Amino acid sequence: MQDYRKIPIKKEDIIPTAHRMRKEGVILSMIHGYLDGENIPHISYEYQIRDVIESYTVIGEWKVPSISEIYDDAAAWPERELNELFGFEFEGLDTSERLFLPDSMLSGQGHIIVTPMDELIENRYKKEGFEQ
Amino acid sequence: MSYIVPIGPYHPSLEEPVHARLITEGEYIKDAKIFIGYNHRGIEKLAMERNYIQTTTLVERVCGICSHSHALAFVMACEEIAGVKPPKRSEYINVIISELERIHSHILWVGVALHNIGHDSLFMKSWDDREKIMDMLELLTGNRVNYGMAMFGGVRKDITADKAEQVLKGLEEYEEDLKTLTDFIMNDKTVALRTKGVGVLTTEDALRIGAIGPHARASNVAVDVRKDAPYLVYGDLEFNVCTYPTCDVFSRVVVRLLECFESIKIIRQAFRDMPKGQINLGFKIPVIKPGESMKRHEAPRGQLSYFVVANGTDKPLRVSIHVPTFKNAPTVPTMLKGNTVADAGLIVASIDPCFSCMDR
Repeated sequence: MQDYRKIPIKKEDIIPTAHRMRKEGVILSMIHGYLDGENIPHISYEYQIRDVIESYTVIGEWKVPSISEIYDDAAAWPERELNELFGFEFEGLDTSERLFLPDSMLSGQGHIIVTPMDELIENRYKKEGFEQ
Repeated sequence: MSYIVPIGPYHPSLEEPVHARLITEGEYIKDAKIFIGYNHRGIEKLAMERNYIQTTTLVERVCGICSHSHALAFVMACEEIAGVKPPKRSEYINVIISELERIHSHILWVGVALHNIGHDSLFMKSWDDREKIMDMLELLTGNRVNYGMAMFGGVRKDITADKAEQVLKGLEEYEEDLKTLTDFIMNDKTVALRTKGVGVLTTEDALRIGAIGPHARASNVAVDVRKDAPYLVYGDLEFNVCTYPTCDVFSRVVVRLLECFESIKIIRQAFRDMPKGQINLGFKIPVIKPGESMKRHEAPRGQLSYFVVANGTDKPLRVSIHVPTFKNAPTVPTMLKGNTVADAGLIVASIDPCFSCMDR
């Protein structure tokens, strides 16, 4: 049987919890995030202890400390994803390059696309008569 | 002299987009970076705008290979929040479809790996054999992919005695083919030269980075959701978690082949033990009470988790999909280091990546 337990924590408890879990050899299953109906952020750290998922959830914080130093890429990738898709900030996380699609692709740099995307968008706006 | 060698994003080693940037010294890779997102379709956002029935159909299209896994994990999470227990027979049917899907996915990857190393005769044999599994899936569900079997409260189609008999007979034939393929691969010189000692991911690194599924098991880490956190009827079935100690590409091939035998074993038990009775609870468009749940399923590539938040309407507030490739892809730079550029494509492919799943 799979069990799911939600445990509310404060922002200050994120790092000590991650340290404790890492020390005990617990796998970080995932870091999830969402905005509830009132636009309040929920960030949850799902640790998998055999058949139980312990979900340590922080509510109402847009900026939380990164646990990528403790859990390596297992934490860095989900944190970068939440940063890019939701705008949550993770203090100490390396965000110098994007995880999902490099910034340069929109200006047509590199070998990713030949026609700069911003030109395509500009042309479309001109054609359809919209202002940028 | 140091060079940066870009690989991808167009079909670097398999027909899905990913971009790898290799920092090389001569022909050796010193460091590497992976860039993803080329197949991002905003499925999680789309899921928030559709009801639970539409979302089941939508998430099934996250991936063509492990489509049933996505629908199943989503449905299990919804059922958990709603407090719904599907009929036992539907759980057995879900196990059968999941294991057939695992076999076809594993053999698809074995074929890709063989193609990457230039062994096209074995590639063609493996894919030719795989057609038998695809035929079984078509027989049971009506489709080769996107089966449309999983639904809230059970499964959509029953398996008749006649179809069960045909599948069991087909599995007998397929098992012989699989034995032949395994024998070839284990003893072939070309396979050994191109895969042994290549793209090593040590057990320590696999645990540190958080690798899962057959990729982790090939690094001798015995993780498997079916055993660690049994769901459906996996707790009642006997099977082994396959691991292999060499931690290289060869190890990844062997683990996947061994797992196919285990899947056949599971399917036979499921047909034997499957009770008679209803296959679903007949829900139309469910309205699920507020709550949240995360359900895990051992998809062919590893642990697939669905985190669903319900708000009491007929649409989910949040569907967060986390797929095995998202956990295994960060291991690629570690595996690439110290190998040659010529092996980079094979090493990237060795995690059995699904960028369609990962980008969502």
